[in-house]
Amino acid sequence: MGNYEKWKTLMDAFSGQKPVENMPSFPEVPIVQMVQTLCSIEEQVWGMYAFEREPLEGKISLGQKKQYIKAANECGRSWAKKVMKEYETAQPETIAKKMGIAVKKTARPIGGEIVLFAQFVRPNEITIFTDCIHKANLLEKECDCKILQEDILEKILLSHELFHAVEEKHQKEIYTHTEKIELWKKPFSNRSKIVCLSEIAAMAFAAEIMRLQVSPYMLDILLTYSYDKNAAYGLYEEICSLQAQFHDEAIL
Amino acid sequence: MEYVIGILLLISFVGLAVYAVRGGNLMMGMLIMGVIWTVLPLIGNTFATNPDFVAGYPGVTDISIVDAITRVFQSGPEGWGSVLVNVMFGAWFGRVLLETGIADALIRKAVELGGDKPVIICVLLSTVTTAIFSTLFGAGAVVAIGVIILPILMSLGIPKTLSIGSFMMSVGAGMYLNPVLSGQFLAFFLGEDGKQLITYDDPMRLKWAGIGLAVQLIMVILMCVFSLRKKKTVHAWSASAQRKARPGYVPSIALVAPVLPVVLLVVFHVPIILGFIIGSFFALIACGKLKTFRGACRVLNKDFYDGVVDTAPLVGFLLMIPMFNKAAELCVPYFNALLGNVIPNNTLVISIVFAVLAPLGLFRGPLTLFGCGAATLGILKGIGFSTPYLYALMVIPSITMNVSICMTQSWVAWGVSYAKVSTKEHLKKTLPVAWIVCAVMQLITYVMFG
Ligand SMILES: [Zn+2]
Repeated sequence: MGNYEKWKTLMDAFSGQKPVENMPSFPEVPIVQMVQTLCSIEEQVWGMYAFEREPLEGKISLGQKKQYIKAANECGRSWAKKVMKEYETAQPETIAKKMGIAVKKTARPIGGEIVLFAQFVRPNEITIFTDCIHKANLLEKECDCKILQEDILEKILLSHELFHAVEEKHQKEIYTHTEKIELWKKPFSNRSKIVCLSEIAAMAFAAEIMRLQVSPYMLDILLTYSYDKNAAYGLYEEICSLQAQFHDEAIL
Repeated sequence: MEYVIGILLLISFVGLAVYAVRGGNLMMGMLIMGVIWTVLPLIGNTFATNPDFVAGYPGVTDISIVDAITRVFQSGPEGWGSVLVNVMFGAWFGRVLLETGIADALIRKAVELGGDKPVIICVLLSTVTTAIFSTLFGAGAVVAIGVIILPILMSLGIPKTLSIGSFMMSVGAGMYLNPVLSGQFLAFFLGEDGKQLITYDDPMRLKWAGIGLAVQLIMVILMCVFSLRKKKTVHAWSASAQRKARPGYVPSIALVAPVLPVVLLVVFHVPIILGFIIGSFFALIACGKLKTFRGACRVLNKDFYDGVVDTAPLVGFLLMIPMFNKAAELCVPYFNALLGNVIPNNTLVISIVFAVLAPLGLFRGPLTLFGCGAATLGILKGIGFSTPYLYALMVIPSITMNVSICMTQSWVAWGVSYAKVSTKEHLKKTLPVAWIVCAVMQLITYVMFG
């Protein structure tokens, strides 16, 4: 840090320009090893990872979660088969076109804490943020992980978002929308979807369309890695501890 | 001579505004302005020839240099000592709420009531946020609550601009009642003897603050309902941060802790520092964190330390403001000479002007007390309006424009960069709502104090 930066950091701190944040630092892991481990993580464990981020997590028991994860993965795969059959193609771009979805690409740099990879805006618009794809492409050279290749990665992102479009189109029948839990006590009623089921199913959907042997969920960690290594190590640590927990339970 | 100095003062005022808008360091800005606004009137005093002018402001135009610099650079910051102490205790209380997991539990409860309905979630979370920040203060607290709430809002498909806008404005709504922030405003209204001219528990002021909270919260809720009516929700694939370890068990009774100090203050007239202490101990005991004496000492020590660190970034800026504020008092005769005939001595006109020009509270402009507004207040004080009226008049844009939506507010800047929203998008979403809040509140102020 040069003198100017030091002075500026000091002044910023004192004038309240930047709030103090203490992000813990996580143990570093070589990227090659990280990729290897991530490839071996089961679907069920990724499901638990998704539930860690579910706002209604506190309302659902462990046993229920496991059933939900199974059903959501099934749902994603079966809809992938249905969609590929209906549109007679496994190319996500073609499926999008036939479904009447507008696919946009934006290069907009998207660093910072929330890194966006892609999004689906109701009712029919998908945006892919290409910045993360370019960054991933550089990473691919370091670790030789197929799903980080530019064209494959883009298709995975698109397929994931396509699932949300399919959900939108088949709201009345699709499992991720029909499965609900009751939040209020009788006689009142507020039945809610479980948001993370959509994400679990979307990953399974993308994996099926792209014929992947691994879960696209690992992109969460790998794409974050190119923006913020420490944050990626944090996510990696989380998934590893979930994996360990899962195996302990399996032995018991 | 008065006019020359007056014009030079105005030029420096514009200079500060430009500097602030361009993102200059405000601590430095305030210090430089403090110096300029002390030197200019002192020069003016030396050369003033008009006897009416000199006689018109005893104690200001004939002040000695030593008295002037003492008043600005020594008494000024010292006078804010009490404010600072409140800020520290408030920060400690904030830490306790975060560490015990009470804030987290409160948010979870709200989410578990609302489920996947974006409108209900927005309404519930805005209300909870406002309740929390009616007591809690500090960038650290806003960030800590923000990293819990914002991902929830976004995971439910609520657009980023709305998530940030509604969260920050709910924080702002709570600020109307917030004793720590109010203390900072009240410190602008000290008598000659250093006594407060208006106090936190003044019944009319308190009623006004309650109305302010309600008006802003209702507008935030309306903004959510209106924005989400088209159901243009977003499904984003983004990496989320590592999940936080769940805090321990929080019993339902502990959930009242966030509002406890304010309730004690308003209903039972318990002074706020004692309120913070009672609130902290209540929270710690309810959550079973004080089982052994040694453990209690450790928890207390750590939370207090973390709380004070949270506020450190604010302290420097807070201590420069009173210098500027005191210097502005020296400038009053010159502003009066220049603008006295221009500014109407009529509360209705002033209220309307403040409602229409409310956005000048942004970017440390002339309507926010955390910016050039300190000078505006000095000018208005010279004209002679009642203290409650002036207080309300200036505090509305300071809270609703500056603290709630302005990018120069540290935590708003954090939120906007956290969600990667552009400044333009953010202002487009929030400014119209904030403007309406200001207009409604100025009307209410006119009716109550005008
Ligand atoms: Zn998704």
